[in-house]
Amino acid sequence: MKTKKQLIVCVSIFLFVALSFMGAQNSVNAAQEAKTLKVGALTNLGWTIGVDFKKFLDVAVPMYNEKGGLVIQGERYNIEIILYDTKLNPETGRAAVERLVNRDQVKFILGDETIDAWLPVTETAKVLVIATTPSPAIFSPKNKLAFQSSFIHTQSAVAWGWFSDSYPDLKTVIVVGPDNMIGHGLSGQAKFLTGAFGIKLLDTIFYPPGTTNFGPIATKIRKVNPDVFTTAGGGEVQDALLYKSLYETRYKGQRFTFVNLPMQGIQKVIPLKMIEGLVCPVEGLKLDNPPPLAKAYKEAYVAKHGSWDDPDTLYSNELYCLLAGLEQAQSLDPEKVAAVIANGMKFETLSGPGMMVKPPVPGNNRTVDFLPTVYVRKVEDGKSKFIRKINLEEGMAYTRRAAGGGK
Amino acid sequence: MLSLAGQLIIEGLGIGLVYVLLAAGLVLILNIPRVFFIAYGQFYMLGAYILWGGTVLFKLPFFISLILSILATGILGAISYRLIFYYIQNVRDNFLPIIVAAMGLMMIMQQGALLVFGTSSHGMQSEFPGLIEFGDIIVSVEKLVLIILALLVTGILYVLLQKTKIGRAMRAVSFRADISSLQGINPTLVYMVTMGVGCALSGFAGGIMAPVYAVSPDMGGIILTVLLVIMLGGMGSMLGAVLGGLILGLTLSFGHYFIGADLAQIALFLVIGIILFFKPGGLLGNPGEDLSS
Amino acid sequence: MTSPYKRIIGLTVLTFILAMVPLIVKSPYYMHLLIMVGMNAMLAMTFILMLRAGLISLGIAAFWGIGAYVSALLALRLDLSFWMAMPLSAIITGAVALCIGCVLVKNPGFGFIIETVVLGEIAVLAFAHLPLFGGYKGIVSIPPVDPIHIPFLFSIEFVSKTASYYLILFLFLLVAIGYSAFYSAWTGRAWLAIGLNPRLAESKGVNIYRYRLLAFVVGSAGAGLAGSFYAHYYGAIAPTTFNVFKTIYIHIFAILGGVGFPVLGPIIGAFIMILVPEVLRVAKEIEPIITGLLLILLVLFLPQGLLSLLSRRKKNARPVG
Repeated sequence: MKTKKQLIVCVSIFLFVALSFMGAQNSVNAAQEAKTLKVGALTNLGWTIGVDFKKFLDVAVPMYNEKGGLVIQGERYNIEIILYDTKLNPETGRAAVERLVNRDQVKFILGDETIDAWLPVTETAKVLVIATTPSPAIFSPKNKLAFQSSFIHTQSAVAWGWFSDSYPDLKTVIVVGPDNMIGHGLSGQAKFLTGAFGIKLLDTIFYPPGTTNFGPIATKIRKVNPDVFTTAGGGEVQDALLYKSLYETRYKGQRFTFVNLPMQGIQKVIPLKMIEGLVCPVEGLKLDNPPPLAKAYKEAYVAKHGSWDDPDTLYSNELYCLLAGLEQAQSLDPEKVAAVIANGMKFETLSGPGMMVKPPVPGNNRTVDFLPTVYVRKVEDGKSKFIRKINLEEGMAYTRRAAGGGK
Repeated sequence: MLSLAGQLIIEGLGIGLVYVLLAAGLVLILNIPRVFFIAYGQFYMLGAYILWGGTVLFKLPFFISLILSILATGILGAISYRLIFYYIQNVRDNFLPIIVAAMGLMMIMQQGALLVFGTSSHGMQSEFPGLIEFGDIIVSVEKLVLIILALLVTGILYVLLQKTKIGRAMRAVSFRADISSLQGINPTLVYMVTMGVGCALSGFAGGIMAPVYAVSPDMGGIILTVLLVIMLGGMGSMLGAVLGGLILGLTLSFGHYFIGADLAQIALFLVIGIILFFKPGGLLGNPGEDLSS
Repeated sequence: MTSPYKRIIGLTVLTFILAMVPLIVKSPYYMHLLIMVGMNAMLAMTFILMLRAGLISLGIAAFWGIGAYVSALLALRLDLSFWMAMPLSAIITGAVALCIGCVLVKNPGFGFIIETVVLGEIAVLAFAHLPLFGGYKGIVSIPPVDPIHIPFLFSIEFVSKTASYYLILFLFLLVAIGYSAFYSAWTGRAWLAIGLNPRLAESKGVNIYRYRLLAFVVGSAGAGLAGSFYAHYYGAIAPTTFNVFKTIYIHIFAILGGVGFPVLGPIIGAFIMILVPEVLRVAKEIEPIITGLLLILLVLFLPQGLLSLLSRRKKNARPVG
């Protein structure tokens, strides 16, 4: 019995040591290849959108490298991604960034929502960060090398602005979101933007993350009966269940979301007839006739992963923003790249052209946010149809109006 | 006003009965093999996923998938007892090692589910579509089916525990394992059966709620709520589990409507804290019952 | 039981070894992991302290969080330096623990466990909902640990990881010595008696309630100290960090090393539980499965913790030598 125990302990220790050597070996091999630019990436692999980001990188990076890679002053670099899982936990995220910065020695990081816990590390180490996060801390003028490249702030402004122009009769709204950072961040935006565009926010309802029984909340919405109902970042299950409960109460108001609603994910949970009339912004990738980059990406994705399963591409702009910055700066110096990005850089994304702008929050003068071309879809007769494209000029106008409090 | 109350009661009853089933299963596991089984929530998830896989992927009829998910979770629960907890059960001060082992099992099952089923959540087209109206109260048929099935199984469980031989053996073992083994009862077998029945209840709860409330990999987090229900009802009491589950379901339903979901949660925690302070064993429990000592 | 004398020698040797570590480990990444090991070991020590008095608390992370928030607020709102904010936050955390403990400690046992779970959840919700604590976004740009200026000689800056490592080592030893002092004094004997058999201890005139409350308050103050360090080292805190799952990890740190070893056990446990997942970063998807399997195996074969391997050998050796 005793020897058996010792054996087990020895085996575990062996396993531990062997795996750590494996890890060391991997990074040595990678370092020996000449002319590679290592880029760190963080995501939560416990989330669909995180896994989709991994799949995106698996497709988009080889695609870029095969097309000629990054050429800086005549030198050709292959992009190599080092992806770590953060589990959306600040401690794991911080450890991952320490590893990226100190062990893997990367100069560029594509970040995720744990950014608040590690931004000081990258700022002192002069590492360029392009992240996707609802946290407004990234906009702080103290940060020199951190940018927000997703559309979660700007697209909301564009969506609310467009919605208030297109449906001038609908004046009251209820926002429902999860009781977590994302829900509070987005409903905070909704509060600010509805004020800016002259819509009356009747109530904001938060539910504990993981709630599945939305009957009582739906009953309440039915009772208050606002003109517009919107969700704020519940994710596909919670949003879908909410719409289902709402459908079961026979609420008749307009359904609108100011963030992307993953139609295919929603469709896995409920039939689209339950969200008849819903209006929401979508990425260009989801169109029947997507922009050129998206078309090429779709083909490469099918070649790599077998079929098109409608992946989420919330994080994809991080990569395109970084690559465009490197190309336009013609330098591997994070500070020079940051200067180019902060200068209102325009670049091509899966959603068509996009550009860096000032965030649509009052009193902020740093150009750190990203404005994409926004497309709007509407669910009609149980099908989701493209109805409107909002180009960069119109988008700029809406974000300016929002930042100026509606003027 | 009356119709509003009726509506909220029905909404609360659906989720409340799911809590009842879960709490009843966990009470069995806590009292008979005395395992603090944190991985319990993962069995709930597994049951839901098996039902989803059966009906959506393999196109089996709903009830056959449901039986499959009961069998699979039950057998897996019994096996996990025999392979892991059987060995720790007789160790001195085993409360903490059991938590760690259950935590390990939880990590394996959680990540295993992520790898096998993917991170995305799934719903299914309703097996029982349609809405029924009673005056102003609107109820979906699937929610009614859930309620009826849950009530049915609670009844079966009662009969199983009170009237059958295995049920009597379970109760005997829960009093004194050593003495019951003198009576010709094999405690290990009884423990395995209990773990099996407990986990099967969890799987069943997952299975019946899957069509109504969708399936996602993080469903296992329900364990915290279930522990609250058990504390509220009383550790050693089956009736307490039923009562606790219903109270929680209804309170949350009314709380979500009247004071908002986030506040309702805090209020609920406070109320449970106060109840536990005045009645440390829970509503129907015996304060002397103590697992940890 | 080891004598206090032996314990002091052991602690000195341990300190010496730990102080030598930065000479070997150069990478800031590994230093960061070691700092995390130190901080989590402090929390695990707290868990063992409470366990000795018969309290299994699932709310340690809540007090860790209170320490972090208090320290951050003191530094940001009142412009206190870290060296003022840290002891103050430990004291305030202890005071909060005293208020809560008065109520909770009355009914130890299973009810206490669940009540501390509830407490942990309420703490997270309170951090997230009270405007003072900054909502779900938490508090950012907390000033780093202030440098110590020794006039005319030198000043110690806490910019490098090595300096932070020595700081956490200092704090760890502070807490370890503090807890050890409690163990060696009459309080330790009372806790031991309560832990072994509360009813017997009560009949011998030990006021169980007071001693348990003492363990709860002292342990929470220690957790608050760790929280203060966490806030200033990370520079940002968010409410969900301090949830119940964190406490379950703290348990694992303590139990893995062995709850019979109040100082060395937490270090070993935290070291393994932090380093294994980091090393397994290579094996992204199956990392939790390997970690879970390791946990089950360790519990099956060494239910008293890893260090029981050492002591058992010692026990076997004793009759011979």
